[in-house]
Amino acid sequence: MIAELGHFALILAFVTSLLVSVVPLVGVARGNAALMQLAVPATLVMTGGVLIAFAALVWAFVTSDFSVALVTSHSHSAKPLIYKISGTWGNHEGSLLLWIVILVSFAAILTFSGRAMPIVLKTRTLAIQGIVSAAFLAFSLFTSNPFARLSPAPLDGNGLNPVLQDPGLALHPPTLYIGYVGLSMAFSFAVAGLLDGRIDRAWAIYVRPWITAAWCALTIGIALGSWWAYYELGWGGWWFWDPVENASLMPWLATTALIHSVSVVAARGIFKSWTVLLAILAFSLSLVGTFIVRSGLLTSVHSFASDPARGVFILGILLFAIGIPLALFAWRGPQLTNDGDYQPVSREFGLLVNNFLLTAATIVVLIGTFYPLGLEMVSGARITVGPPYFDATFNPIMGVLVLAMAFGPVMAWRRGTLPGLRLVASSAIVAALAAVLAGLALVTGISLAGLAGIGMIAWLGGGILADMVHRMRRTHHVGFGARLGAIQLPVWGMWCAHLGMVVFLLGALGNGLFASEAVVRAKPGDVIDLAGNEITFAGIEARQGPNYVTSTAMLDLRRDGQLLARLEPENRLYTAERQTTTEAAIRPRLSGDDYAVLGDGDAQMGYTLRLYHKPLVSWIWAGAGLMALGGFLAAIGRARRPQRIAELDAPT
Amino acid sequence: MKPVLRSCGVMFLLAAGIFVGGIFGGITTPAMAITAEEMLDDPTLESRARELSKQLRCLVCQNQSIDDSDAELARDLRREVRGQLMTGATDSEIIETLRGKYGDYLLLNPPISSGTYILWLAPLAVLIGGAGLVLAARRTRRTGAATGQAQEQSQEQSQEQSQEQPHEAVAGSDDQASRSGFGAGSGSGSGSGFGFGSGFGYIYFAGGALVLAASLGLYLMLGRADLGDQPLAQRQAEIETAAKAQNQQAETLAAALARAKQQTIDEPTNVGNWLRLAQAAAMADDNQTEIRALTTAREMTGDDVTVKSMLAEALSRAAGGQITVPARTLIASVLASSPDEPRALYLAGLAAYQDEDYARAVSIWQRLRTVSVDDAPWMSLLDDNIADAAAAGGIDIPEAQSRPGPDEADIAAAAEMSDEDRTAMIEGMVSGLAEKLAENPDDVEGWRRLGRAYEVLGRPEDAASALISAANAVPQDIDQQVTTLQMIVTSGLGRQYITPASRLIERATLLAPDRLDLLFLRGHFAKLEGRTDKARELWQRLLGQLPSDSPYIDDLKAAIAAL
Amino acid sequence: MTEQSTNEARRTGPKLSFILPLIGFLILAGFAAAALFATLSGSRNPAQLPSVLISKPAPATPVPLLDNGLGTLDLADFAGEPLLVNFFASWCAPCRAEAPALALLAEGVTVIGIAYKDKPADTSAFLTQFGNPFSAIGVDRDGRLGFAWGVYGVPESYVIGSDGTVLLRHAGPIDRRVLDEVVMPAIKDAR
Repeated sequence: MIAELGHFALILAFVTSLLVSVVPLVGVARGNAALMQLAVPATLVMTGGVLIAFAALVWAFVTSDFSVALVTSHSHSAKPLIYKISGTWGNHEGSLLLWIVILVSFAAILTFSGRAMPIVLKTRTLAIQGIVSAAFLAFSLFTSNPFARLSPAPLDGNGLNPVLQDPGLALHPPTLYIGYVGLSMAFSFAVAGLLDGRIDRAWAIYVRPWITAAWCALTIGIALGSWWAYYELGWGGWWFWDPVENASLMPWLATTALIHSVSVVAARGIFKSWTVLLAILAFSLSLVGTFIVRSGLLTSVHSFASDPARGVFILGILLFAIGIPLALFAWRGPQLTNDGDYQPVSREFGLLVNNFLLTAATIVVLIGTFYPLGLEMVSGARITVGPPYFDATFNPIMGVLVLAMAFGPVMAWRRGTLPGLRLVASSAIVAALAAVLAGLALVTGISLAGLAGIGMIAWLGGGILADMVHRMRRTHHVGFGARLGAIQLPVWGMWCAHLGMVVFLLGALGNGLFASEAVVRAKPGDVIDLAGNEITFAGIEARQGPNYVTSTAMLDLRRDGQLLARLEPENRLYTAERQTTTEAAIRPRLSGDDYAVLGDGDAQMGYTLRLYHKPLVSWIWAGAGLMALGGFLAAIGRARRPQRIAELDAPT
Repeated sequence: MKPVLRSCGVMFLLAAGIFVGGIFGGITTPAMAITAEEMLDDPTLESRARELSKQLRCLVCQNQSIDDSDAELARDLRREVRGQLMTGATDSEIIETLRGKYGDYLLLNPPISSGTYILWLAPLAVLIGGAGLVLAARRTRRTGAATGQAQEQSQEQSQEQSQEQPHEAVAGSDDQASRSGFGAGSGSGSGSGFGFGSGFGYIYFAGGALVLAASLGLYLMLGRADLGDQPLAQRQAEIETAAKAQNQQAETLAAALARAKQQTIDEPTNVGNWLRLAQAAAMADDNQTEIRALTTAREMTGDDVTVKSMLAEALSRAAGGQITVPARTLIASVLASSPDEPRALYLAGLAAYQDEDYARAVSIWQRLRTVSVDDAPWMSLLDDNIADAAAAGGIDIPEAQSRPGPDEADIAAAAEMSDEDRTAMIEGMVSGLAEKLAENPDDVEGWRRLGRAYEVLGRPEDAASALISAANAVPQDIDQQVTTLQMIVTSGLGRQYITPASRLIERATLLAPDRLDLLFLRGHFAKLEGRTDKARELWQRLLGQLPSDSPYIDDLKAAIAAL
Repeated sequence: MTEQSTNEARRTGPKLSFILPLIGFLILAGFAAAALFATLSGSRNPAQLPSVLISKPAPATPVPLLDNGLGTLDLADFAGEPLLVNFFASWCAPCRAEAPALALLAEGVTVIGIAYKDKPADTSAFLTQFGNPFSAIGVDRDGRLGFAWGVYGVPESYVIGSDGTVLLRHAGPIDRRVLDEVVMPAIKDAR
């Protein structure tokens, strides 16, 4: 009865979520503490129900219970256990349930962690979270029920798309969803704050950990997805400007802006309405992403089997969950008062520039993504907006942002000091010039854009270093160690995140400028030269995997006669699904990846081999990791000083 | 990535049709993106080709450039690009040529045109407009914040500290924060009254009960409490049995097919052998053999309708369920001569369904339904199909009409079938009809039909009983009485049925005492009863009334003499 | 709220800027809804790309005829009446579904088939199995003709007017519904 128990638990969670959506708000309106207090236990019951439902679904997948329709359509008895488990969310219904799990779990965490919060804010936040949960639970139960049953049960399932039979599926969606759904907390806080008619520094301090957590998860989730695409799709790209990728990039950009603007609210009590708007927009954009993936409106490499009818339901959720808060914002937003003003040379101004550019970049991505659809609706013409458009529009905006990034951190709140700025400016310029000259001297035939990129990265790196020096100088401690120790953890976090950007850019640029490639038709015994390495095609053999058979090429990678590695790219035939996948072989190194793909061919005419050397490519994901680490450090640093909230909270 | 050209949502098959199974079982082998053969020898040209390829969208893929795509079309376009490069075309010429064939959709870099002005101007507009908004907001903020200016001044002192440690986000200006700190919400005071008062427990109880009740109600609507879990581990026995059964069946089918083949070799002139081979091949999913066997049978029977229908079915099954044009031709020719051939009717309905002509499909299938008996083996499938077609076409089906069982066409069709087939078909029809008639003994047409069916089956006693029932159902119908009697006499059952026959004779005599065929029958039964005089008298009377040139006269005289 | 902040509130910025996000969202949602309902009602099919040949003369690339490989298919021979040109291939699964509808069409309209990237033997077998509704069949072994027409997948069909201009492209198989709702109206217009 486990499947039915899960189904009942999901229904129970749905009904409870209705309770959470309504009763506590009635309590707030009536001033009834008992009704307000109901939000906490009801949220916990709701969470418990969803967790039980999810566990039951995982159980059905693990035990291959083909009486559950979803298991039949997306699993197979011969699949390795790990892919049975991750297959739970390798489909629309299951991934929606995972999404809901995270949604309600965040609410449950708030019930535990927000003890110091004012009851009205907390109650309202939980209620808003409950409303969002109710909408998605209804979506799940009434259009995408994961517990639909089959009787009689088939004896085996249809299997899982082989591309998804990969550790990437175990990691990427959960992380990304934590990011997407973590934004729901910022959203709920924002709506609750608007209902309160009150956004202040304490609000910012309450909401900031959620934003930081969501941003870290989103960063890692996107990086994992990019990495997965890099090694699985088999042509070594890491970003395609695909609508679904854009759908994850937009919330990330908005959240990056939000994480900066909320710090202004926390520190200075200004940018309030803007921050609220960003919080609403960030989650809205992640909902839009869901819509894109699941409605099939835009074509994408990554979509689920799409169903326009489902899209109608999501559109309804969108109108409800975005439209109403934005209307509320239009009504209440103007009433949010700022506690002061900002000067042109100040941290506030720097962060304003940051927000301005990030928002502009978000809107550009949004327009680029939806423009073809809009044009088709208006004129019927079909166009494509591809990478060249984004290269021409998005990249310059981000370039300016990177230049500005060097200055922002060194500026102080309220009124910046010129000495710090001067130091940063000179270091940045010197570093950039040096890098450009070095680039010119070392690399022949480098493009202008490449040079500009190198200069820009050096500029940002120089700026960050100068900021470090500047801050250490200004502490009152003596000695390098003591000065270093005096730097607060959130500052380390910021440096780490900004350095992550440098590392990321280095990876992107290194791969973009210096990648080398060889596409050859080779027979066993052939030797291919690539980027100073010798690659010997040792032969090809068939292998047996757990639920697939392969044809595996064996490539010996040598430098100066020294065997570095054996690369074994393969093509797999998944027997149950009768589908093939291409598995690249990668030798990842900090200096660059060696990447090999086996193409078509046979013993007579030889095999197509596609070999790449991709310098610094892993820095792309390492940079993302550093960014997330930075966010994590900042959050820890702030969590160690919770008394500040109590201070702010104390009535005068 | 599957190199699918265009995956179309063509429904070849009914949800439930006679044709089951996947249509495209093929395995797609991955054609990789660019291959070595495609590349140009000249590295400059090749690098131009790569750059161009990155600008062109693979039209049939999901957002891939032709450089990345495995699709056939992408390969053609790569070749085209390289071919044009070889002729010395410039990059923009090549782009323009391709754009001229495939339109702007091909270009990943949207060209500037009336449709894309907004797209290209948007980033600039966002930057300028955004800057305008920021400035406007700041202007109003400044005027708005003028009143707060004094406070700003008073805080100058504390600024020093925050400059020292700019990261101390919250450290400064506490007083400002407290001004707007969290105090009371709009309603009751914060943080008061957290105890479990009496009202509190009541709310919990009521809420909990309500939630449970509503959940149970919803679950009863959505859930399947009757279905237990069926983890695979607990189904080993079931799986083994199924596997064994499948193996066994496969063996049986293969053996049957081999046997049937051998029979056609041993005795190639027997049509039955070829039909049996076709049947065995169909069971074993060997479409080609089935078609060959049926084609042979068709030639041997000289275009027999049943064989033609079977061939149409086989052709369609070979086409993955689609009623192909050749199959349609066969069906049309069958229905032209035998409009009630059930297989042809079924296929014609399916063809209409595949044409999305649901009204026609329903009407054809309903016709098939009326010419079939209740428990014909295809009945439930047929009903499902009619329901499907009606649902797809939004057609209301009238309540099921009564079906009068096997009619002329059925029997005619049956007569041309092989013995086993015929027997099976008619047995099926008959037992259903008999049951129906038990409930509704006044259905004279049903009795007649049943009687004829029994005759074809070679069960004259049952046929006689059925016809007697028919005669009893319409006692005023002289023809029916006579027909029944004739049947009894011609099948040599007179002695056995002498009692019911005499009742029929009485009835008929009252109605038409001078009817000639009745006179003969009366005499016959009188003879059987041993009343020779009576028989002679009747036959003599008949002899007197028969025209002098009647062919029966000699026979009758002989019969009288034999008395 | 304090007296002061209420005053400020009255003075804060142009309210319009606070409504902008809502307006932007509603525009976006409007497009999405329009596209979604168009997709649901069947009037929008993302797989259908508009052809650049519409209202232009059909490309006249002669290809050999299937029958014997000797003759040449020239659309000019059919000038003066509307035509349907259908690109198909034996390896194309959806093409199998087309023959019944094309056969029906062929009763009143000349239907020309182009075997796209197909071996003539395979094409012939395909036609035997699924039916041959074509008045003439051209062989486009290497896809040159397909390229000239901007074919991006098979099956693909073009309605050509009496004057030789392309009136309609339909990508995807022609079934009875497509025949009645898309192809026939175009042919009626052509007449």
